[in-house]
Amino acid sequence: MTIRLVFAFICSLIFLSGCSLQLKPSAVEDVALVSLIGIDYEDENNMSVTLAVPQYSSSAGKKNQVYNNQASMINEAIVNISSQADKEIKFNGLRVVLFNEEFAKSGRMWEVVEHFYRNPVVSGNVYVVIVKDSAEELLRGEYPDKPSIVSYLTALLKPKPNIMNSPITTIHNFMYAHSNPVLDVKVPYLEDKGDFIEISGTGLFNKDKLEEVYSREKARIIQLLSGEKRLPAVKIQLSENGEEREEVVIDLITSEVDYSSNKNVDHPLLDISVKLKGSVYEYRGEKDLLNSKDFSLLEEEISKITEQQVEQVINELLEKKIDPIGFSENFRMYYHGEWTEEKSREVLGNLEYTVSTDMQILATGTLR
Amino acid sequence: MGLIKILGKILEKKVPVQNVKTQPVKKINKSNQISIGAIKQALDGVEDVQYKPVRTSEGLVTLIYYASFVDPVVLHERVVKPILQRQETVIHASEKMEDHELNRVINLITTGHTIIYLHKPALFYAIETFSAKNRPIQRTETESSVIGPQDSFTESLNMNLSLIKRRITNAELKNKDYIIGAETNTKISVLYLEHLVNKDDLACVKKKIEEIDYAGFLDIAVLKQLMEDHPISPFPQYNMTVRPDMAMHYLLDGRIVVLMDNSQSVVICPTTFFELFVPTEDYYNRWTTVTLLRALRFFGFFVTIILTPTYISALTYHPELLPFELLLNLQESRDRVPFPPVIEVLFIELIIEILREAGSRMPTKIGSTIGIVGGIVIGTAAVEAGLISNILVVLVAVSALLSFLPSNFLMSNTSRFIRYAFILSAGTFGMYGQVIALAWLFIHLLNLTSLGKPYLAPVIPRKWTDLLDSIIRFPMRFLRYKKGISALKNKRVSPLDEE
Amino acid sequence: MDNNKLKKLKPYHVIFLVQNSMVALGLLSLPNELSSMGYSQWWIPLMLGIIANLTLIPIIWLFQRYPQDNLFTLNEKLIGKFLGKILNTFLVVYLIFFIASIVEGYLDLIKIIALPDRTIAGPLVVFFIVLLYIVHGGIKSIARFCILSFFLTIWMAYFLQWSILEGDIRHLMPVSNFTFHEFLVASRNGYFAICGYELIMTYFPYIINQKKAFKHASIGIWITITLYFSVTVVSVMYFTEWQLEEVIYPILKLYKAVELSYAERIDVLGISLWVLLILSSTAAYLWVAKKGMDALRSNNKTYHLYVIAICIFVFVMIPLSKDFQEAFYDNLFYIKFSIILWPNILIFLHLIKSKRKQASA
Repeated sequence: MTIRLVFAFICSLIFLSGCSLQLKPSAVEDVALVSLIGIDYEDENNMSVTLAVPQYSSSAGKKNQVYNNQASMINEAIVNISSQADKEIKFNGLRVVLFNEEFAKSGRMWEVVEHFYRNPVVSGNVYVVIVKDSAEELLRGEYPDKPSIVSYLTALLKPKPNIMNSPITTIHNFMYAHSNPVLDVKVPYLEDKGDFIEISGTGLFNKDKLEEVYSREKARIIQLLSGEKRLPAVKIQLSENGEEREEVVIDLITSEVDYSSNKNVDHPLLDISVKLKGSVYEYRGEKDLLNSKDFSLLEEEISKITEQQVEQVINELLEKKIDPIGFSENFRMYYHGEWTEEKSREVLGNLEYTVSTDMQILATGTLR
Repeated sequence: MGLIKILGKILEKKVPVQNVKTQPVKKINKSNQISIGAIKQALDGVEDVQYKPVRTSEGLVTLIYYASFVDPVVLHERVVKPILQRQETVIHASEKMEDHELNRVINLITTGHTIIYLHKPALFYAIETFSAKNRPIQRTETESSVIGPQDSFTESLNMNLSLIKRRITNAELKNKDYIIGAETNTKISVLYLEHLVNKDDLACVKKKIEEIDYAGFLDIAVLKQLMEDHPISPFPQYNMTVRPDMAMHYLLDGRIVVLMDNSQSVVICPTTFFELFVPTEDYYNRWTTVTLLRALRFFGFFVTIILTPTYISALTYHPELLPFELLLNLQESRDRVPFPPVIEVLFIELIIEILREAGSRMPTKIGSTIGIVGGIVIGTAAVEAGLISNILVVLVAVSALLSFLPSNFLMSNTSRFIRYAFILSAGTFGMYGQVIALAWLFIHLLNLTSLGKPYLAPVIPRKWTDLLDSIIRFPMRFLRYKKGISALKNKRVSPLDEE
Repeated sequence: MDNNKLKKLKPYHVIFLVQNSMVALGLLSLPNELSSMGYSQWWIPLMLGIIANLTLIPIIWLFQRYPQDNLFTLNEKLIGKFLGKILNTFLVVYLIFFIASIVEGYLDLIKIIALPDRTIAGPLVVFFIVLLYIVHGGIKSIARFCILSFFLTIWMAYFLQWSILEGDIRHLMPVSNFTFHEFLVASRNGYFAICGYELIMTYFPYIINQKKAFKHASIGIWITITLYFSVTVVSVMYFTEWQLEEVIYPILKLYKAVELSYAERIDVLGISLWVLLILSSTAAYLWVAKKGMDALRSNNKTYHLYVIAICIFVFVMIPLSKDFQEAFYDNLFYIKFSIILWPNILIFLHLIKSKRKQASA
C-alpha cells in the first residue's frame, strides 16, 4: 500500500506540474518589486502616490523606475500605475514608505500605514519616514555618488548606533504606537539636501497628526528616555564665556533609563533615573583628565547638563501633552480597568517628575 | 483512488520475485546413471571440456575437466604426476562418485573439478582442481581512504572470505553457504558472528535467500535488491561495500554479511539510513574531524535535495525571501532566460546528469576532458547565451558536489533522483510543495525497514547509546555498545499491521 | 512480522503524540483568540494547561479499567450497542467536520500568504496524499512523524527573540485586569487550541506502559503549554491590545519582525513548515476517525480510511459562505468540550455497572 501511495504522489506531482506550467507563474524577472513608496499631499481627499522600483543597470539607463499617480485611496493609485508599468506590481519587497510633511500633518497617514500593515505580503520591517518637502522629488532625485535611491535609503535607515539620535520606525512600530493609548507616534524626519539625504530630526505626532519636528539634539533625549541602549557620540558644551570654551565629545557606550512611579493615577509622580556610561573622545578645556578630582568634576558637570536637557524636553512634551516616550505606561501597569487615551492625557497633565542622572566616564581614549 | 489502485495492482503484479518461476534445471539423463557416455552426452557442445587419457601402470585413466578452469600445471602437479607414480594417493585425496550421481558429476565438472575415471574397475572420482586465474587484491578506487587498510575485496568468494576471516580469527565467525540462481548456480556465503548476531535477523536473511528464485545473478547488487523489504523505494535498504574493514566493523556489531562469488561487493544487513553516510575512515580519524565531516555529509544530503528547489520556489513564488542585492542580480541574469525557473533548473540538472553519465563510461583521460568541456564550456557558455542564470550554475554545481558526499554510492544516486521530485513539487507549489515533499520523504523514511528494523534508527534512536555514534562521533572509548538495530532481543517494527 | 502485537507505543511516542496532536492551527491565532483579556492573557495558557491536565485524570482512570478498549468500543460496551453506534456515528461525523475545519483553515492561509492567485485544489490534493500515507503507517508511524515534525519545527521558536527585544515587558502588568465575562470568552476560545490530547482515548490500548500513561500524556500537554505560554507572553510584549484584537495570525507578524541577512522574510517559510504540524495532528484525528468507522462496521478495512478522507475532501471543496463556516466551526467547540467531559459520564455508567455486577454476584 505504501508503494502505491509513493507512486501516486510522484504521479500527481508530475501531472499537476503539467497544469502549473500552463498557468505560467510569473517568475522574478516579470514582477516589479516595489521598494519605496512616496506619498504626497495633493488636496484634502487626494494623495499623490509615487512608486520606485529598482532596476538592474544593464536593461535601462536609470537605476530605478519611478511611477506616479494621484488618487484618493492608495489601492486606486496602484491599480492606475499597473497600467503604466511593464511588469506586474508587487509589494512583497517593500522597504520604505515616505510621507511628506504636509500629508503627515493632514492626519491621514495612519490609514495608509494600516493599509500596508494589513496586507499579508508586506513585511513587518518596512520603515516609515517623513520627508520635508516632497516625497516624489526625493524619489526622483539624482544622487550621483550613491548607488541608487533604493539601496541608499534602506542603508541609511538600517539601525546602526550612529543614527540612533532618531527613532527607526517600522510599520509595526507605527501601528504599535498609534494603537497604544500610552504612546504617541514618532517618525524619523528626512531632508533632501540636493546630493544627499539627511536624517535631520524626529517628527512627533499628536494622535493622528504630525505636531512637531524635533532637531537631532532634542530627539536624542527622547531616544534616551525611550530606553535606547546605544546612542551615538555627543558633544556637550560645558561652559562658554567669550573665547574660553569648555566642551567635550562623549561616546555613549550604554545608557539606561529607569522609571519608578507612585502608582497613583490621580496624583502621578514619576522618578526618572538616567545612567550613562561613556568614554571621552575629545576634550577642550582647562581640566586635567588624569587628575581624579577634575575627572569626577567633569562627570558631575556632564550629568548636570544632561539633567537640564532632559528636564527641558520633558517640560516641553508635557506642555504640548504629547508623549512619544510612554510615561503613563508606568501608571497603567498598576491600574485596573480599561486604560484610554484620555487617561494618558490626564496623567500627562498632572504629572510631576524628578530626574536624576549619573554619568560615568569609563575611559579617556588613548591620548591625554 | 481508483487510478491509484489500478496502478498499484499493476506494480504489485510485477514486483514479487516468487512469481517469476523459472524452469528447474533440465534433467540431463533420466536414469541418472553414471557412465562416460552419459557424461559425454551431457557435455555435448561444450568445447572446452577435455577428456585426457592417462596410461598408468595400473590401467587406463581418463581425466575429465574444463580446460578453462584448470591450469595445466596444477593438473599435472596435483593429478597426473601422482597418478603416474602411485594411483592410490590420488584416489585417497578425491571423492568417490556413486553410480547414480550423474548430475552431481556434471555439476562438479562445471565448477572446476576434475573427474578421474578409472576404466578398470570403472569408477569415478572427483578432485578439486579449480585454478582459474583470480584478480589480485588491489586498492579500491570507489571507497578509497587515506588512513586504514588499503585492501579490497576481489571477485573470488574464497579470497573475500579469507580477507574477513584473517581479521576475525574466531571460531564464532560462522558462514553458511548457499547455491542460488537456477541457471548460474552462484555460490553465496552468509557470514555472521554466532554469539552476537540476532537469531531472528539471521533466520529472516536465510529465509529470504531460500525463497529467492531467480535465473542468474550478475552481481550481489541484484541479490540485494531482491532481498530488500521495500523493493520500490528509491532508498538502498542494505549497505554494500568492497572494504573488508567495513564488513568486519559491522560483523562485530552483530550484522550479517552476505558474500557472493564473482562479486566484488558484499552486502551488510540490516542497516540504517545514517550508516550509509559513514565510511570506516570515520573510525580512524580523530573524533573532532569526524563529527565535522559527518555533519557535512548528513546535512549535505538534505541540502542537495533542497537547494535548487528553493531557487525555483523563491524565484517563482516568493521573491521577497531573497536579500535585495541578490534579487537585483537574479533579475538581471534571469532577464534574458526565456524559460520559467522550473525548466531552467531541469535543463541544467539534466546537463549535469549527462556530463556525469558521459564521463562515467569513458576512460579516465577522456572523462576528465568531458568534465572540462562540460563544466567550463557549457557552464559559462550557457550563461553567456542567456539560457540559464549564473547564480543557478553555482547552486547546481554545489548541489551536484554535495550529492557525492555520502559514502555509499547508491545513496548519492538516490539523492539525485529525489531532487527531481523536489524540483517538480517546488515548481508546482513553491515552498509549500517543498515542505510537503519533505514530509513525504520523512514519512517514507520512517516507514522503511531494513530486515524489519526501522531504517531511520539513529535519528529516532532505538537505544540512547546509538547517539554516541551518530552525527557527533564520541571519542573511541565511548563506542563500546552495540547499535540498537542489531540488538539481540528481537524488536521489530511493523507499521502496517497494528490491528 | 508481529502482526498481532497490540502494544506498540513507547513513552516518548505517547508524549509527542499528545503534544503534536494539540499543536495545529490553534497556535497560529492563539493570542488573537485570547485577546478579549487584553494584556492579562499571557498566563491563560497555564490555566488552560491545568484544566487540560485535570480533565485528563478521568480519561486515564476510565481507560485503565478497560485497557483493551478505545472510546468507540467502550461507548458500545457501556451505553448499549444501539445507542453506542448512534453516538459513534455522531463522533465520526464530527471528526470529519473537525478535520475539514483544520485543513480548510490552513489552506486558506497558504492561499493568502504563500500561493496567491492559485486555487486551493492542488495543494489540497497533495496534502491528502501525504496525509493518507502517514495514516497508512498506523498509530506508531503517526507518533514517529509527530516526533520528527516537532524537531523540524521547534527551532522556529528561536525567531521569537527579535520580538522579545522589541517588546515591552511592562505589558505583563497588571496581571488581573479583566472582567469575568472577558475571562470566560478567552478561555472558551483558547481551549480550542488546547484540544487534541483527548485522542488518547482512542490510542490508549496501544500504549505499552499504560500505568504511566498519565505521566507521559501530562508531559506532552505541558510541552505544548510551555510553547503556548512563551508565544502569548511574547505577543503581549510585542503587540498593543488593539493589535492583539485586530491581527488574526499574530505568529506571522512575529515572524515578520525577524531580520536576517540571508533571507529578507521567513514568514513564508514558517507558514510552509507549519504544514508538518497540521499533518501530524490531522493524521492523528484521521486515524481516530478511521477507528470510529471500524467500530461502527465492526471490522477493520483500509477502505474506511479512504471513505473518510473523501468525505473530508468533499466537505473542504464545497464552497460554503464564510459566515456559515465560521458559525459552524465555532459551534464545533461545544462538541469538542463535551467529548472531553464525556468520560465522566462513562465513569458514572461504569460504576453503576460494576455495582450491579457486585450485587448480582
